[in-house]
Amino acid sequence: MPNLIKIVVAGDVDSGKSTLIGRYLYESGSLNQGAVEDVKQVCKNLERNFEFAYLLDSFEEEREKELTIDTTQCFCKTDNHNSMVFIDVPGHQELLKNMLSGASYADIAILTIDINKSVKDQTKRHTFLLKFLGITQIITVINKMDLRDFSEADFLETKKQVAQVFKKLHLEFNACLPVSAGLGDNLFKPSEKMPWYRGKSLRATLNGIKIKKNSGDFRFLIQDSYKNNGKSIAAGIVTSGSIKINQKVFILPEQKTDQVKTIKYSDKNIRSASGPLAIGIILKKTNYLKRGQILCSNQLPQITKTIRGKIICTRPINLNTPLNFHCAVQKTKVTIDRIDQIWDTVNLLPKSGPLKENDLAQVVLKTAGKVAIESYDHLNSLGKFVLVDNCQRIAAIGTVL
Amino acid sequence: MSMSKNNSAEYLKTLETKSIYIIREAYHKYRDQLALLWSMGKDSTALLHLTQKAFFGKIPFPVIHIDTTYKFKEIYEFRDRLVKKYKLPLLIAKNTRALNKKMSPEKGRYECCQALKTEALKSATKHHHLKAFLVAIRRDEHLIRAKERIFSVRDKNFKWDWRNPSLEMWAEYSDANTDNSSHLRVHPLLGWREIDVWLYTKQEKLPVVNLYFAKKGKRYRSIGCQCCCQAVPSSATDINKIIAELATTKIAERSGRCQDKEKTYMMQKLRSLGYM
Repeated sequence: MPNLIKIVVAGDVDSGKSTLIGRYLYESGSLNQGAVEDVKQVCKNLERNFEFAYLLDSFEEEREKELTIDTTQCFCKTDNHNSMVFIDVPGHQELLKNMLSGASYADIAILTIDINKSVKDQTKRHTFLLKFLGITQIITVINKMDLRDFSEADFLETKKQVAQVFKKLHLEFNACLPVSAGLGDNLFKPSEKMPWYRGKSLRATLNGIKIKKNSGDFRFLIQDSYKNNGKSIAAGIVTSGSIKINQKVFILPEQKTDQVKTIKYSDKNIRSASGPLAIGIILKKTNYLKRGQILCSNQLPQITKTIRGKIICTRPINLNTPLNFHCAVQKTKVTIDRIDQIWDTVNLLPKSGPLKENDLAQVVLKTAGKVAIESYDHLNSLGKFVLVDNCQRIAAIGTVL
Repeated sequence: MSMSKNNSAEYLKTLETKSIYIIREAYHKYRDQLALLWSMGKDSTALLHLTQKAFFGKIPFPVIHIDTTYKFKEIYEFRDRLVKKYKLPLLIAKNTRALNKKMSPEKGRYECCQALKTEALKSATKHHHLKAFLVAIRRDEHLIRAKERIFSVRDKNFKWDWRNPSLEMWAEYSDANTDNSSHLRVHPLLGWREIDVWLYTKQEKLPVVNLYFAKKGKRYRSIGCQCCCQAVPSSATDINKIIAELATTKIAERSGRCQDKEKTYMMQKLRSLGYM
């Protein structure tokens, strides 16, 4: 059973993301004594009314400018055995990297929409990015209902527009809630001001969330090789599945087979291990394993030099620039062999090259060495990658199709 | 938060695996230019244990204590006991110049933290040619720490350029690059909560400084320099009681730490200049 649900709150600038989280933390009793007092004092100094958003926006500049600059994470108490982390991200287009850094942690998302502004380009972009990251459980929150007198007709109109965005992106459109985050309506408690709404509050919706766990076949990612009592031991993590001593394993990308001789956990030898676990492995025949190799059993990943994937460029990419492909512990030189399509995530329309920052592209990559990859499903380590330039900068983030 | 025992063990296993992965990645990249910052508190002692586990029992890089000389005597005793027991490769970093000039909190807490912690670390970095540190900060300790990345660069002047944070994808791939900077902070416990550290301490039977346990109705939730730490009301005299207390308490973990509270944004200012 999963214990921790990570929820990114995405959406347009000023749609109330930080306020929603702040108010929810407050109502759920997740805040400590000092937190609210500190914010009260800051608001007094700034001659402003109490701002729940300041519970997340902790930098002086963020509070003065009333805008989230960097992503942050806060734990929240829940009614059941799960625990929750809210991830706040900036809404500004220029702060996309900070949004991605935060959102890439998430299992599910809350998409906030200001009913006064309805669906904006930035709403579409964030939805689009969530889909790219494989976050498909999205709860839509139509916020600031108090500014429209909690009107059902206005809610339904905006809901219709959101449904169209989801439909276009082939995303399931399920929970859609009318909320006033600032006043706490329909957030932690059902609202008395919207008798027409028969659905769940945000709290009840979140209580019903279930997330998938990585239940795949045995995968052991080798991070390093250490000398331990004169023997070389492959240090790494079991990301999924389990392993026993004497079990047959495949060494990738070479596709050789061997058997497990020793499994080491901390300073002890153990007979079996199941993921997630950080262990060391010594094989019977192969004396030296190295970083980048992967031990597997059962269904093997794809071993290839050709990768079909989708990338988001975090820098402009000139196709002649040398790039490196990093996928979990694997690293090899790579070129973008073919671009099938480019979309501009600013206008969300197909465009022509060259690849600019914030462009999304469907590409075919050719790697110098063989790599083990799997189709991205948001959980597996071998389905996501980054392209790194010679100055160690991430030029693009990607998922395997 | 209530969690059954099995769930809690499974959860701690996930946290441990992620942390060890990060520790090993840092070692792969920095080798003998990496060091662990150990304050002898519960968090960095858990980090020390995770590091031992990562390398199958032995820590292959220095463990640094930034010694302000104002720590509790219990902390020094604890340090010396563990160093002996685990044969830890300990380095002590002190700003002797400032101490000779009688730097103390009376000269201002901000100035004192800056001189005896940040500056001490700065000179140790230079002296031992270090390029990366494992630091046991956690997001849930402080709203400013909640803004951190797992891999976080300090620039040539030791500063944290929070306006320009690195891209960090899936908590794994990072843009953080130390070519033109003083060093990298690596935060393997960033996603742990206070209660997780205690659950882990209990599960792994880790030693802790006895200041954490309540005496006469008070205990220290967070420990550091004696002059700047206050005990908070508590009846938690053992680890099980601490875990039970944390499930319901409304008192902030660092409420007894003076440097956090002296002025608004003091933590932001200290951290911008290279404080942990």
